[in-house]
Amino acid sequence: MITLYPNEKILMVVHKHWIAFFSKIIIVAILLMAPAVFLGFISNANGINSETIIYIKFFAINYLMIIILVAFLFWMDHYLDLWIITTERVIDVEQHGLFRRETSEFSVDKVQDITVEVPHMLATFLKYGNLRIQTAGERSFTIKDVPNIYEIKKTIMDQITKRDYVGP
Amino acid sequence: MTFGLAFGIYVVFLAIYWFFVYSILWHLKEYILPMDYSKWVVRGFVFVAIIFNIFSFILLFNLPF
Repeated sequence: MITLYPNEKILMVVHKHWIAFFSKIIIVAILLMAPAVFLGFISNANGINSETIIYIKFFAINYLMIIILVAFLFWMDHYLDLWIITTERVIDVEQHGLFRRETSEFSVDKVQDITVEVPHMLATFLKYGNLRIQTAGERSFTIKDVPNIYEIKKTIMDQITKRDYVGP
Repeated sequence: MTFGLAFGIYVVFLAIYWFFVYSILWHLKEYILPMDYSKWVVRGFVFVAIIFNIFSFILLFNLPF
């Protein structure tokens, strides 16, 4: 559970672009259609009795249950790879499969350099890219395939500017 | 295969299945943010899983042994 400090506000929650999830959607769609295609072939074949059809339907529905679960797992993996940008810090949550996840965070004070990369033509058209933040520690934080990269960069830079500004 | 054995295997399958579903829901509960569309995705998935589970259960009792 992510707990915010007093007076800390969430400015932005950054999820990956849908294109990062697209190839998995295609795989799931093909796997979901497979039993329907198989049942179509089987029901037209000769020598298949109604008892066999019930068995096939039973296994097909259990197969669909598993595919739906796998799809949900893919979605969870996609959804839980996120950055939460607050007024104080950036929280990086990375989900690896079902049982492994990493959560790291750094204060906006520690940001030294923000690199924005639009890696190829598709990324240019669909307006997504990679964002790498170098912090005062030796570690750098990268999030790949995120939309609105310039807006994210501006949000973080604005926070740095606000913190650096010392009023009269 | 007797009905008892098939039923036993089926119950083990469901136990593993719902353990995975529960694990995913636990992860989401930990990191889900308020006012997020993801609640509807979760509800949709759980609804579909329950419906499929009911159909699968009905079909199990219709299997000829």
